[in-house]
Amino acid sequence: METLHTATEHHAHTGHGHDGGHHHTETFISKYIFSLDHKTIGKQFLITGMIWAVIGGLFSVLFRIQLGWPDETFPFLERVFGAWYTDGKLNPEAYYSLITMHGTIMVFFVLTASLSGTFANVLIPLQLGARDMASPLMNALSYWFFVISGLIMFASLFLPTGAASAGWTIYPPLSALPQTSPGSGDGMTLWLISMVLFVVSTLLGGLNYVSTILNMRTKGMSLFKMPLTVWALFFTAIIGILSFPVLVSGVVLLIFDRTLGTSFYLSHIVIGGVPQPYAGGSPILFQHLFWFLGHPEVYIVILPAMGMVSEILAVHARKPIFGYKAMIFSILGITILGFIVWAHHMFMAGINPFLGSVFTFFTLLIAIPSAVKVFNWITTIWKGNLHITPPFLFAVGFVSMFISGGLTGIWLGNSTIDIQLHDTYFVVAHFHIVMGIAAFFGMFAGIYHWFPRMFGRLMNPNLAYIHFAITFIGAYLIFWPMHFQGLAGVPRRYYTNNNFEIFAVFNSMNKTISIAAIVVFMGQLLFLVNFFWSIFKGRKSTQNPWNANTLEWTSPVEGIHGNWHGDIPEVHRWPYDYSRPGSETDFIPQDVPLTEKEKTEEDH
Amino acid sequence: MSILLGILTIILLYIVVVQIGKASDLIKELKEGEQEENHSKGALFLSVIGFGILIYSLVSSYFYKDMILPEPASQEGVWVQQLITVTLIITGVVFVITQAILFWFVYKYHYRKDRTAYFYPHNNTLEIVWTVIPAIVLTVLIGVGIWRWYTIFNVFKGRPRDVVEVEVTGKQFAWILRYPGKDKKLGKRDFTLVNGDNELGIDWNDPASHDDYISDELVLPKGKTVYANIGALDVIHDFFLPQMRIMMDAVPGVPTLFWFKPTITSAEMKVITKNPNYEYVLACNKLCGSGHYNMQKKMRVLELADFEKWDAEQSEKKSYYLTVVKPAMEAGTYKVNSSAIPMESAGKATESEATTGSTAVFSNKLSTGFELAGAKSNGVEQKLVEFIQSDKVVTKDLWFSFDRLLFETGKAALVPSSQEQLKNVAEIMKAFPSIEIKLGGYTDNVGKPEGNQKLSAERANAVMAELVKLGVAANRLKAEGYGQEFPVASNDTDAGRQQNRRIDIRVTKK
Repeated sequence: METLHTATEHHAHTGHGHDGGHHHTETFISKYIFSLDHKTIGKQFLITGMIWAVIGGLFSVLFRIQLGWPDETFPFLERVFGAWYTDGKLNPEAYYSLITMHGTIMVFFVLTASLSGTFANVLIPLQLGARDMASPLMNALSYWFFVISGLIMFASLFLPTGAASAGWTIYPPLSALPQTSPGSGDGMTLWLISMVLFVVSTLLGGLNYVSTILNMRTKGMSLFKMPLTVWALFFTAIIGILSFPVLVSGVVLLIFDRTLGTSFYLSHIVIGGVPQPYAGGSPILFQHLFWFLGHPEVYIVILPAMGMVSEILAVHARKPIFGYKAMIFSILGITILGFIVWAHHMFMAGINPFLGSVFTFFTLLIAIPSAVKVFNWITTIWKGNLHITPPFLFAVGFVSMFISGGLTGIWLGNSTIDIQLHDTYFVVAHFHIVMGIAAFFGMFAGIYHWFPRMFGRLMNPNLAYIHFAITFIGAYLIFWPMHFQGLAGVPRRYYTNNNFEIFAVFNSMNKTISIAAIVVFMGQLLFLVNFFWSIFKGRKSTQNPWNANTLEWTSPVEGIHGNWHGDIPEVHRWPYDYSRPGSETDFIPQDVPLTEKEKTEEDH
Repeated sequence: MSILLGILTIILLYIVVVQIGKASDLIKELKEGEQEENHSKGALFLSVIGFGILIYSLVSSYFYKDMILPEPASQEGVWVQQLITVTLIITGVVFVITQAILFWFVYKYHYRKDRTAYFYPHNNTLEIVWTVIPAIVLTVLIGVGIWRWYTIFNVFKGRPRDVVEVEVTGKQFAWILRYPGKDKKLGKRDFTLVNGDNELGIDWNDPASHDDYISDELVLPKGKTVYANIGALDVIHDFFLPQMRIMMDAVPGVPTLFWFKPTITSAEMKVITKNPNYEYVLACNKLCGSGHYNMQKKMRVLELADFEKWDAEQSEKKSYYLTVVKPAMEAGTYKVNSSAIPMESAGKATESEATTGSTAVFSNKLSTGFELAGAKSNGVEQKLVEFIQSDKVVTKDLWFSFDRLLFETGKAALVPSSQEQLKNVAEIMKAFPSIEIKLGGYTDNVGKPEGNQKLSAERANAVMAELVKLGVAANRLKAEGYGQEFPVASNDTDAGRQQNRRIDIRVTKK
């Protein structure tokens, strides 16, 4: 640790002799649109992500309406959505496009690009004491590739054959052969192109985050003085860099199969009584390539939320995070294990059962670092002096969701139990709670907490309370009953359960779930109202509204290009000196030098 | 209009909520001194919600527990269920304790002016405790899980002997079930042998194939190991027997298998569930296209003796080789008769009608050398050719219905699988260059007549456009939509309506 401490000394004062505030004139376009400032790019990621979240959420409302009221017609929806509906009923093809797009949008555009993009951009330079990212241009390109990728995906919604409809996991041969599904025509082509561009965006961003964290920390900011947010974003970026290229390779081979007539994933295919000229490939190969990204992907989604929750719980509990190093090593453990568990998505895919047992072993091991994190969070609020604020509400909500969803992971990670529950609603409940809702709670906590840093104003706390109550209660009302549907064997991705007598018993439960889903969706619109209203009309924030220790709260409220007037603050202590005995205040910012007494203590 | 009103109401509602939020924010600002009370209220709010959800989750579980599957109907399912029970107890206890502590701490330790938080940055003993305890518990779960997994898949013993074999093949959107028959051996298959008569590509030169039979339902014996050979023709499907707790993907090109021992007959299950209509089912559990949600087969479990009787009967009566292939080969008509395995219909997506095998003597080869692909006996191709070749005169009311045209539901877009029949019709027109035809579009009587008329016209035009694309001169074709007029069957039943949704063809000039 000591060597790490000194290793960064020579980076001290990277901005020395530079007054930080740029005075060259900026046009509207260079300031707000093609900006190179990490703070603006972070906001761009956030607002773009919000647009995508509304679209993705709206799609879930549409297919929940179908599932809740499978026998009713909705002529007004037909008037709005046109060809997706016939006689007021959602078409099965449109239903499958909607679930595919919902998954793709939420997993990739919202919880990967927007979550990491927003907070890595806003927080890494500000919390480490850097003037900007290592490469502001790459950073901006990362955002614009994300925009282009999104526009292509959006365009696919308007194709006459519909958007991709093979599920967000796009398993071939369904995704490879347009004869098998209308959505596997042009819709799938655009999906694949969009995803390749998306990976370009992720890599540009991720490489930038890693090099910024390794090279641009201010004087005194050794690795073990970094806030846990930065640690989490660091591991997130590394996971993305190592796993996304594998998705590209999988996607490129799929493109070859679709256009060049190769047979990487295809063999022994017969369609409509006609044998197809494919031989030697294996659809399971695609699943390996996909899940080699797909599983680490869930950690890409959840780690930033974990990092932010750790930070937020400490700040609002006025107490150091419990087990700072244990938190870092548990993230490291999750990162490493996350790479060797992917085939637990494939227990029932036709892999060798021996292989399945190996993946069961590693999968269940992940519960250990996860449990350490949960116990550390709970101990962090134990004997704290809890400030009950909107970010704190959502951070506690995150812990609750992570426990609920994490425990069902112990069920599904066990290959024997997966024989019964694989691809049922139990899985839907599990991953929505543990990586969907939990990650959203982390994101909301982060937005409420760093909103003053981003916009210089505070969000309305009362609306935040209403937002929390709707979202937290609603999420349980939606997903808790789904566990029982899963235990009743109801498969996911059914357009209606009415064709099976044993699954049709859930009609009234499905109505309740759908109503809860609609209410939760409306609750998120309330959050958006609060967000945009507060940008312009919110209560003005003070320099350090939460009395937090980290460096971002020393940067001017108005947010200047270069982040600090004059020299960058120097760091003397770890970020969690809250309620330290002997201190007059209940927080000591990182740039406050150690007292004589502390120096002698530190030597021990 | 009602949409507009709805949107306006929602917007107003938001404005009201936002205003209330703002107003109470101002009040709060005035009372900044009463911070402690605010935090106390907030803590109460959060804990009440937290404990409320905890109570909800426990109480609702009590009510929902009767909706889940009845007891497992196979030996393997029993093992799965045991592990679920153990896991449920462990995770359930952890769930209740951690959630309760979390929300209890939230209330207990909320902000008070006179208190400072306890500076407690780390404790290695505690960290070790809560690393080691989960590790021990997980070791147990991993151990039991892997042990059961190995037992279920006989990882070390290999394939079991004395089994009842069945072959399950998935295709969009149906299961094809093949039993080995009297010789207990399934005939070989080769996907290159697949044609309209031989959907599975069975090698008729393999004598083991001769007594194989295709069954409409999955029938299994109680108390004997069933060995399922699982495969798929087109995309990935998933062989799912929910009540047995059995699942395995059906992957084209990668044969998979599952062996399991049913332990409860259908009759016994009706007693257990107290439901005289309770049935086992075989479902598909891997998204396989737009008809995925309706891909199923009936399933029955019989006592072993009853099963053996049933099996022997089927093998005699339903051997596909003996009843269809052999006579056809002897008559020289093999490869020209229709598909004997019915094309299953899925939901509304299909407008074709299933016909089972018969042996008509109709040559599928046109004078141009083109061989009509997949044409059914007495299908539209045959009717058309026979009419053209006969000396019957052209009349205004002699229409033939297409039988393998599929449109996307509610749209005029043809599903790709329709190409085969369109190509056939185009080739027939090329083989008889003098004929001209008219296409008529029809619907059932659901929906508004004007909409139906429009859709039927669009569909007829779409078929015409497709034929032009396939090389038929446009001036030989006409198309008209008749909407819901001229039904050919009753509109009161699903089957009737399905027959009424159709495209007809009439020869206008010979």
